[in-house]
Amino acid sequence: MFEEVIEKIREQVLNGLRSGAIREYSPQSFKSWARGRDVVTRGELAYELGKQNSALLILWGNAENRIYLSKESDGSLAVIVICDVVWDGLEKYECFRALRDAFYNLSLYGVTIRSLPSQLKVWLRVARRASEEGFSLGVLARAVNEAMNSLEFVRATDVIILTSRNEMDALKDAFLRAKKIIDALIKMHEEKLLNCEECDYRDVCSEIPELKMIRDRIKRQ
Amino acid sequence: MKIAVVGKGGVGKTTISAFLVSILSEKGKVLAIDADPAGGLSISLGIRVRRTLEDVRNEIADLIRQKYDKVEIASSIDYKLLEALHEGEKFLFLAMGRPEDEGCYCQLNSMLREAIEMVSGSFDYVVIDGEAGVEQINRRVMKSVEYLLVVTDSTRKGFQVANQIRSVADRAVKFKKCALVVNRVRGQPDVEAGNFDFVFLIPEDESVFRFDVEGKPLTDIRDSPAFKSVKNIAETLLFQGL
Repeated sequence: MFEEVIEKIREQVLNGLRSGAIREYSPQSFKSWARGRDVVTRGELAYELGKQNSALLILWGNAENRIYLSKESDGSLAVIVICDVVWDGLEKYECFRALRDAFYNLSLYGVTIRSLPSQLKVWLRVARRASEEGFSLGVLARAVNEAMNSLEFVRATDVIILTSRNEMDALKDAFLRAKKIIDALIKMHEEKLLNCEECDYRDVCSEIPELKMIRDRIKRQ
Repeated sequence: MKIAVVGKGGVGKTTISAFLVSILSEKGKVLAIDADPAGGLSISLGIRVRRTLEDVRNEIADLIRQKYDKVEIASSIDYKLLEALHEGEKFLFLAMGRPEDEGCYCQLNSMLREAIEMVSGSFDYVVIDGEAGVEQINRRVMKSVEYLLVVTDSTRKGFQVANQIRSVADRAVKFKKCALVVNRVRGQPDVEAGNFDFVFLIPEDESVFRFDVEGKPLTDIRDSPAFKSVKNIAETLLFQGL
């Protein structure tokens, strides 16, 4: 479903690795972090990323439990999560919801993470105390990796965290495409009567084989 | 620790709330919630409100109309609630706003209340400046508070309303202790505690009146008779663990 999008993301990550703009790690390179749902205020802030210029993509595809972090940071934040999923009777929509819920339930001590799933936005605030105790984006990536891998149908998870506007701009089309696919998936499951001729998502539903299958199945029902 | 300040209109709830915010923010992280639709606490704290919880509620109601599921809505509430918090130098502020269509979204209201309760957990102190009654604290803000401060002036009507609030408080909101706060007191009146756990007196204070007339934030007052009395309330209730 997300092959084309993931290919573009991987291509950019590879270019980043070659130029040194992105570094690759294993999740174990970073420490595991205590849980706790915090509201970090401006007065406690070490740094803040995302909110306006942000992207949160939770996709499925091949993954090998790797973490990719960009070196440059200008306050932007893209969190891209690619989960290798075992499709053993699992429906695509069910999978999407479970992965999204796992991200929503991510609570880390000294850190505020908020996401707007329908707009694919993410907002991260890190408290000085957390930063001083060793919290980093690598630690966040490990926590995301662990949260996703704790789902029984997830084999492995790659987490890519980009923190510069340039890197995000280069993937703008891929982000929009992924959003459209996810929106189409949600819409198909929320509207039992499909009026495909007038639908804004007609293009992706016709192009993506998985969406086409779901659409045909719903129509048959 | 959560403190709700309630009482009849015009008895000085907002002044007391503002002083409490000012005093407690020297000791820890404070969330100030203006649950009075009239919205006076923001002025007393020197804040310009751009967004209220009511705005968040209306935006989320749109999501519900678009049939988004519970996690999508909960996640959006968390995000938008954080956006709606005004960040002062020493405290955070949340204005509830004026509810337009009360009761239309019962599930949403309870999700908003849960979100406020969850956010409150990150603060050392939560001060709620309430409307006249106590029911709306339960309905719109949170199910329980530690301290309920029922404010009155020296008028018979004020005491009457305070006693009415106390009599419904047990079933309206969960609390540990309930105090009667008599505001703008002249002299040393003899006030009986009755059903209240404590009684506190706050003297009439010219500087509060002057700041209100000039529209200056009450957080600038650091040494006035009323401020000292509220500090005494804070120390008695909170720091001595009564």
